[in-house]
Amino acid sequence: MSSSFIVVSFTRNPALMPKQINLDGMHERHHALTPHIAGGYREAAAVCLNRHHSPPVEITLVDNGQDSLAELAWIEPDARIAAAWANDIDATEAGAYGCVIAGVELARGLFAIRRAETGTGADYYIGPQHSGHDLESCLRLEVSGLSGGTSKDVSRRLIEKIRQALEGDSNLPALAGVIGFSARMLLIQDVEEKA
Amino acid sequence: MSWSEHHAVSERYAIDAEATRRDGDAERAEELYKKAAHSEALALDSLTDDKARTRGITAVSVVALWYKGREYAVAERSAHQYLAAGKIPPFAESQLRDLLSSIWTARAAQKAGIKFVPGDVLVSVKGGEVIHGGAPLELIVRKVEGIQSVLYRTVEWMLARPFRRRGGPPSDIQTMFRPWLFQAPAGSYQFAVRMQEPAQRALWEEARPQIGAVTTTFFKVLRASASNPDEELNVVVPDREYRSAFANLARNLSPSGETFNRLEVRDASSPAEPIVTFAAETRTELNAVIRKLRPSLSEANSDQQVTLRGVLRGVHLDKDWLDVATDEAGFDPHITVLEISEVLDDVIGPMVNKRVVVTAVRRANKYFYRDIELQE
Repeated sequence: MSSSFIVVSFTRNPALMPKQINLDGMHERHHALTPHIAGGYREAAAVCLNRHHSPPVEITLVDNGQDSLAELAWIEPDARIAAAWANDIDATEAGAYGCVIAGVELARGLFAIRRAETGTGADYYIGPQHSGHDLESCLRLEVSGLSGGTSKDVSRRLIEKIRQALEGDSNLPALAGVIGFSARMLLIQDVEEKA
Repeated sequence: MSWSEHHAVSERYAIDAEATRRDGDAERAEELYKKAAHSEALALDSLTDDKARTRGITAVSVVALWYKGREYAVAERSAHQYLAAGKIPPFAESQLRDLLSSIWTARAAQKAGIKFVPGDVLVSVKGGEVIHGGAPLELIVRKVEGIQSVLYRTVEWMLARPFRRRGGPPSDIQTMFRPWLFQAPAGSYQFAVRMQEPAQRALWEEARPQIGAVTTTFFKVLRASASNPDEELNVVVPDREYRSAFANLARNLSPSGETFNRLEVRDASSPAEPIVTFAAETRTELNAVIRKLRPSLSEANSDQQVTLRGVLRGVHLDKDWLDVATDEAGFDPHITVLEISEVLDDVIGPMVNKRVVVTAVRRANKYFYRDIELQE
């Protein structure tokens, strides 16, 4: 007697799945990130997110005022990673770089392709993947992050960031990105060029 | 080699330098920054004149890398050379001039034996009457005192000292701080406040908090005060008296938008992004929190809330009154406001002989204190 089996596979409909902000293996996609930097950003983002949430979370991604949802997953940091990123300010800054660069990749299909130094840090330049023979058509990326705070605070920080970018005596086209780790919100906005 | 190849080498050195600096090896980090600068200069040399934007960004990067490598003379010479050649766009010229200002400040500090370290606090005052490298002296003096007051209060709170209502901070705590003023970068006036190790360490060793811990707490308190005074400040500073003191001192730092628009506080060792920004709306939010924190006054039917604008001519905290000289119609030229026991010395001290806004309750021709703030 033979028996037959019916195999039922429950798979998620990709059309209904939220988009994913991918913090894994960023150095493989973003030329300006080394494995060390990308790994650091990923760890810092995990520490910042883990302060307020359990993985995964749904993030509100607002790109030039257009809302959508995106999923953000991370591996819960162990004690060693948490200790390495105990400095709240450093962790928020590095975590913000990771999340904003990954968010821009998802929302715009742009990648961190170059990095250039400034007096107070470094700027990332973003563009299509595998571009970067020069910086003639790249966008400068302005990044900021908030560990706590509400969506109102995240919006306020974005306005502040855009104001700073415009004050910087630079008429380079730029993109500003702000992540609110507690507020689960990532805002991306074009910074208008000065006339 | 092409720009792309030289720049990639420079990027790698710069990334390593940053990581090395974070790990605390400043000397090795400076060496790596110098190597990065050398490669970036080669990248710049390989560019043709038609790549104006790339030339500009790369020229700034070269000078910034020499500056970070503390090779100030080379950084200065390079900046002058790129400016003189005139082959870079205006945005890069402007950034190079800013860098020159930072280089001169750093060289002057180096000559004087001063070195910024993590924990130094940079404060920028922007907008309004503040211009390139200049600001009303009175404004800057007040802000320096204000920052120092928050630092003192932070240490007293960390050491669980009894809450201080009158007088300045204890002398032992005062010896821990020494403010320095530095030249401003373009577009703002900037000063640095540094905490200095006490001269007699032995007297301190047991109780003294680590400087890093003090500045981290200082940043947390200021950030909570500026960004979410209603909720986050509650969490960061559970003690009601200290919370009220920090809210009042933070309001003293906030602009009203007339003399200046913004005050930003940064960690001097990582100044790319302000940790705290005080704007005019911060003052409004702090006002609401301060109103909630102040003790209630027994109410009478005849009570009338009044706002007095004028010059704070006198304060006697022990005798519980203050005197406001007002030129507003309907008020006596000098008004005595009573029951000011909630007022703290370091909050009201900087307001004497300045224009203030006093909120009071008028009851049977007497004025009872509710709040006071500077009219910036």
